[in-house]
Amino acid sequence: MKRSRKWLELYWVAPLALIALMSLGLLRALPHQAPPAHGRTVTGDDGQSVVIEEPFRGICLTYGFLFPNWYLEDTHAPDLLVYAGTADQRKWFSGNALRLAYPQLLNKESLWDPRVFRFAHDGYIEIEAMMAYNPGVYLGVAGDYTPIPLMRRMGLPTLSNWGHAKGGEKAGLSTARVNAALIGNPALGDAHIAEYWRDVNELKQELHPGNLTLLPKVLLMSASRLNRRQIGVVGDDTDWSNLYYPRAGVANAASGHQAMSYDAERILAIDPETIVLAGIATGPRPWESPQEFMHDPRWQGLQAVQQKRVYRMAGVQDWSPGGLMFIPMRTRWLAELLHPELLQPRLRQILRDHFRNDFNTSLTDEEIDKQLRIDENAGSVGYERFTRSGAAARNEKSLQ
Amino acid sequence: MNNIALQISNLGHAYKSDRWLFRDYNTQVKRGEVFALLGPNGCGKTTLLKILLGALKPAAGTVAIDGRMAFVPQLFQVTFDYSVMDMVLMGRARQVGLFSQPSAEDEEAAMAALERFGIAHFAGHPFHELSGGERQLVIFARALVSEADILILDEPTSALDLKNQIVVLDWITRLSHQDGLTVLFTTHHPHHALAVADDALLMLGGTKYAAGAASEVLSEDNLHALYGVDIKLLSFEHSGHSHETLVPVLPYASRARNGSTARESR
Amino acid sequence: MAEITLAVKSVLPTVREAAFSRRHGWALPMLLSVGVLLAMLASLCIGSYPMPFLQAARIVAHLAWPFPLPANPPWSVKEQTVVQVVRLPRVLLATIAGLGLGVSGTALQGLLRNPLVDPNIVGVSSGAAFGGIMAMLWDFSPVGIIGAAFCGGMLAMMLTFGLAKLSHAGSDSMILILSGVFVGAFFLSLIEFVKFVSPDSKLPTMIYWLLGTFVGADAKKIAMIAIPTLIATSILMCLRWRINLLSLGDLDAKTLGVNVRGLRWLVIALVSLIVASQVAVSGVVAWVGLVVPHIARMFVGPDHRRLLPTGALLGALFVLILDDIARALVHAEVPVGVFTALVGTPVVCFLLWKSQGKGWGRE
Repeated sequence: MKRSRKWLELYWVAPLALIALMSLGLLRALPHQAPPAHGRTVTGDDGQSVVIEEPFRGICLTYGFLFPNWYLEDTHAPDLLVYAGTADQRKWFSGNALRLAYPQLLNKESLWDPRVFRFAHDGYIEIEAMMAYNPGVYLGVAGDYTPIPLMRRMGLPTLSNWGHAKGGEKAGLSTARVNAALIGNPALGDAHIAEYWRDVNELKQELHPGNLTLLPKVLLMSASRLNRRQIGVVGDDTDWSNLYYPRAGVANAASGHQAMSYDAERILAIDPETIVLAGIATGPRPWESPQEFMHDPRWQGLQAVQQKRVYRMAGVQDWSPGGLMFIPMRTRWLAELLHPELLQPRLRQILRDHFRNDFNTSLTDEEIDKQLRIDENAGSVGYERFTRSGAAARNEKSLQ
Repeated sequence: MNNIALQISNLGHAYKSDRWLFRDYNTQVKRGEVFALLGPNGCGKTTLLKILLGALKPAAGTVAIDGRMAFVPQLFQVTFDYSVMDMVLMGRARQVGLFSQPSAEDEEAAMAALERFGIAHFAGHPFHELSGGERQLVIFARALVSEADILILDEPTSALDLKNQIVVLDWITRLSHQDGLTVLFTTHHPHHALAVADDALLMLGGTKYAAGAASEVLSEDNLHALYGVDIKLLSFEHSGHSHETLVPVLPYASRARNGSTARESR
Repeated sequence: MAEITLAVKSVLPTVREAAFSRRHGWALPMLLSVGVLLAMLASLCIGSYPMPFLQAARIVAHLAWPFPLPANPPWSVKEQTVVQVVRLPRVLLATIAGLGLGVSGTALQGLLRNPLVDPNIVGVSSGAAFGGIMAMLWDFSPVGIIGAAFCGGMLAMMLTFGLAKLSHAGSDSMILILSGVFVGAFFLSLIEFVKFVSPDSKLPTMIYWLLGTFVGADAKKIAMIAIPTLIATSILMCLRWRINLLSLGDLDAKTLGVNVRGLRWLVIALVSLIVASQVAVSGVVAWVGLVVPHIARMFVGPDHRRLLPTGALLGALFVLILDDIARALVHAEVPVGVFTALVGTPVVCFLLWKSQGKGWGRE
């Protein structure tokens, strides 16, 4: 009896041992998923290949906020999507230029499911909800803090894209290739890349940025209307400094700074000639419009405010950053704004042509005005050249 | 084991240098005897107890202890509402291995100790709900199961009613006589010391002290020196035994009673 | 001469209760063990992917059974992946974290002789979080993060005790808790400072880690929390009767032959290890260590021989169920610490009202 009591005192071992055994069970090798009988192999931008089963069951876009845009820009294949994103992404897409090309996506409820994916803190993904979609391939950004490694371990067909964390040209080019290969049309990727270089070179030949001696200094920034401490600038560490500025023939007024939250005094110390309000702040939206900015007491001492050289960037929400189609257009906008004497205002036409050629969509003048932010920039000096009449008048003048 | 349970040699302590509470104390506690420690408040009784228990390092002198000690604090409180059985079992800390739990034997020993004090029926009772005297007996039982040789009690009767005072004093004598325990206790009641102690130590302050057989040390003169009041030694007979007790003389009240003071009239 | 005996109070019901608890005291922890097991299996059925209870039980039983899996299992590959990769790690993480918090809270309350403390209040959690965040700043390995979190937790406890000693309060538990609150606040501000000065590239990882949820549990995280927690819990279980002795008071325990200093620091080290591993994996989870011992004490009384296992299992059950609610009802992922605080504070308030202050601090 006393012996049994001694053993009874060890009753606490049972639950602990059970938990330990279950934990050890996690170390077991995962069941091997049989490779599809018919499939084609696609290699992602991290070098990892995935076998996609034929017939193709479609694409699930996972980790990456701008995925719907990049995907559509590169593939023009909205029908292959089975899952496009969260409610946030849907809302964002509804204000984006590409919705004009693919309005049907917004109304397809099954494409947008807020439960599958969350962007808060960690990019948490509800794997089980996603498994229910059972697509031919999952598209995501590879990385330690993304769900991609886990999805790969589970044997889900997962392709990495947009893997260059910094974005920029390299990421755009490789993404275009991977996206084209994904839909089984590699030639489309090459065509887009060729188109990209054509746009880039056109601007180069018109502007000859290498011959410019005095580069106008411009500060790309944004100030939150709600949180006055949230002021972001484009510093040396973003795509803008190495991709956009040299091609547009301008200099970064905030050279030597890093992109982060700034106090107002730093901006006053920089005192740039031109300020471009781009949506880059970490603070809460809405951001100050050019009108609000020029009436904000904080900024009255700036020469750019006194000379009304404060602009809202064109396509600030409409054009996805980093997309191959829009990189040249943003560069061009910057160049046309700051070198009015050297460049013809052709942005409206280029935008119209791209939408017609790539998406078979005719943009109305109102739609173009909205993307170029004509209304918001009405009070800023020299912006009339981007308007319909301004562009036409200027072109006539140059013809004479 | 020799005949001396506790030997104090040249013991002294000062919390601040040169402000000696007591100094050069020499005395011994014989095995199996009851030893009383008397002194007014602030004379260093508690300090001396702490030194004996090893909780405080003396500033001077040594204490030699032969045997295991058990301590019964003045007011026993526990945060958690342990049962009486749990409390008594804790006395088995030395017998139970570091990583083991008390065995059935330990529980039997605890039960036996409770029975010895006639409080076995309290075993499952919450310790909190016992009266002061009952708590004291539980702690006695705990000391008994711990198989201690020396029992150190800090004012064991201070918070008790008269009957429980007598019960506790009676048990002090019994533990010494029947179980051979050495019992050392502090008290503010010289008549308690005289009733149960074999030897006593009077802490008179500084280097002054009186130690020895209780009947000799607890003299009228010593007690006057100790407390600064008159205390009378009385002898009487009861049930065929001779008894001695100490009674303090209240200076004003006794004069008032004898009519040598006049009540002020209004 | 008549023997003097004490008056016998009428205590018959109490005696019967005591006998019951002595004879059946192990029954509640046993029942709780079964409850935890059932809750774990039931938790495996919560999620978007359909999973019958028996199927989940069968998969887990085969995974835990230390022999090879059947060649042609009666479940699909997808079902096994869902259990093995998605659900079981999370369920285990919640269970182990709750177990650790329950056991460390119970042990700490006994050690500090105060039912008002938990690892969060006396600064262990903040210290561990600070240690962990420093380790991340210096790119330590997972083991390094646990080690640093442990050192932080121990440092916090040493500072707490040191501060209490400086105020000559010795083992006065109220002073000790106050010191713990100060030390905890100090470490929290250190964390904020480190967050402020750390490079932007590491900041998201740190904030993600500090917020800490049970989301993203995997075998590595389970190993990080299970090994230290299960080992330290086992040692604490062996020491559980000694915690009774520690709860008596230093002088008393010492005269009973207990090495108070050694034992106290051993228990503190074990508690710090548990808290450190829990914080390192799932962030600071408050209130569990405070609420669970109270509920456990209501069930089995204050004797740590029963209380410690009960506290551990109740903690596991508590956190597991809270996590299930977070997972099933609230589709947005609330950090588990937020949830435990949300549920824990009202429970503590209720207990405070119910107990009318009895057993809270000194009488």
